[in-house]
Amino acid sequence: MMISNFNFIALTSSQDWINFLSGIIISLFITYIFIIIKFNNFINYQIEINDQYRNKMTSQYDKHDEKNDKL
Amino acid sequence: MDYKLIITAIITLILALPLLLTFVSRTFLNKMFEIALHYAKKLGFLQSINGVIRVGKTSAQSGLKHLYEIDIQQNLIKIILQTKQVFNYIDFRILDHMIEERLKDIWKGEFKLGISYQIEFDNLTQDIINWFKEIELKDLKSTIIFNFTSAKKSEKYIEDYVFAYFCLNYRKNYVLSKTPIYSHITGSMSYQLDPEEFKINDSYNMRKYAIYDYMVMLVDEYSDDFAASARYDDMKETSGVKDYLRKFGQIHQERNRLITTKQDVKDEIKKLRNLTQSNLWIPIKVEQRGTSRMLFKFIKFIYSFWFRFYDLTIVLFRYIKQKHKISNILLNILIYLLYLILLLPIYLFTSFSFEFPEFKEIDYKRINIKRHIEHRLLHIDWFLFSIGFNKYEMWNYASEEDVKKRDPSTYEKLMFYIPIQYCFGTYDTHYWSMIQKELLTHSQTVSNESNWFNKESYYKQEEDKGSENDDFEF
Repeated sequence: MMISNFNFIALTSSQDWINFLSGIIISLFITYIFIIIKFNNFINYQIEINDQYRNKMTSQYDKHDEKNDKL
Repeated sequence: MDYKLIITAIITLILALPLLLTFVSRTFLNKMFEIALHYAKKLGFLQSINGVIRVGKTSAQSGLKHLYEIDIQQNLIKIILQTKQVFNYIDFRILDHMIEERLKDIWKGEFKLGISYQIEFDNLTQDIINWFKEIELKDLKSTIIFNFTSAKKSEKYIEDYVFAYFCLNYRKNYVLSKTPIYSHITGSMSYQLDPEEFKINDSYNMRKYAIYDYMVMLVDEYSDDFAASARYDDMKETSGVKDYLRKFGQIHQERNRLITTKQDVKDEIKKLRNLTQSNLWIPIKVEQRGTSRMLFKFIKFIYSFWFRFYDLTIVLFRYIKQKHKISNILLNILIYLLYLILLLPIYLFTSFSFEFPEFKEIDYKRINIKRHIEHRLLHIDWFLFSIGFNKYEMWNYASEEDVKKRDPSTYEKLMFYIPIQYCFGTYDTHYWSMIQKELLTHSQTVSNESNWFNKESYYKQEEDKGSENDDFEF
């Protein structure tokens, strides 16, 4: 069916409405799953970056301490 | 009505509601941020932020600073575009190349504002004008541009263009502050401001002045030397502070802003009467909007639900297996179910949680997962908080003497919605914490825990105080 042919007046019987709404529900579910996956990836990425920085900082401080020890 | 239809409609509504609510609230907050930007542009060039302690003055200063940085950046881009529209007969690729060649020599990648920059910029402008006169035969020196209201020299346009180009592409910094402050707009720390340079007559004589245009200048109570500590001396001042503040807008061609924060407004009235144009009073403590607390609670619930499920299934089964050491799986499952029936009500309705000190492996695995979840939840919390907005209610008084008065005719009520990232974390709020460390490390005294029953003699103490210097004599 063409999208341009879609008409709300065509949704006369309750079964039509149920089909229409269940279509929306499925698309909403897909949207939510997509958002959750994206959000999850984003948080993972942030944690990874934080860990990297933490390691970097600590390694820098270690080096600094080593230098001091040598001196 | 068909009950199936009602149920599907309700499910659709429940599913669609979070998306709709998020969309509406985000649109509202972004719109309010644009309005805040507009309000900030309306305020005067000299501003003071007043309020009682812990009300959010410093964060408001940081937020306003970011708004002005956005404003300055927009202005710079506007100047560059407008100059290109005015001189449609100039090839700006040549002009930009000339500026770049020269600015590389001047700037040298150094993060400091030199004394001789102004002379260099003037020379650069003159060189460009001469070059266009000799090579392209276009006179930029003695021509004017008429915009149907007034006329401006072409030279001035080129001068502004050069400086705007420098600020936008080389300096990339629009903040002068005594206390270091970070900017999210340019991703850099502020330049150092010496409030002594406001005394323009003295600075001219001492040749000590480095306040450039397109800058937001911040003075907070900790660095405000001539307001709080020196409020009574130097009434007939000749240093030029008053002169500087009075002519501030014209000296900097309305490009700069000066924001001061203070708790007690009256400090400055004695000395610099009515020289602050916008006096902002924060009556209510700052509030956060759009930090998605409900969403965070929901995520927390999902995680805790999952963890409790994990506790009751895998962890409990492992524990039974290790404790009773039965090889038969069916028997294991039977014991597990018995345990479950016993534990379930206690687990669900009390704050009981599993601990297995005798089986370290199970305990460590369980705690590791719990800590992993907590680490994750903390990051989610931080992220959701960071995308929120700070809501400031500010009353803008025209006269400094009216501040704190509740008479509606004296002030204008303004609402500022500023992203939290622009307000918090840009400032080392404990900048002077090293004073405490230095005091403690330098000190030689001891403080004992006081004894309830032991009452020291009053006159003995007095005597001790008198013979302070004899402490080390035995």
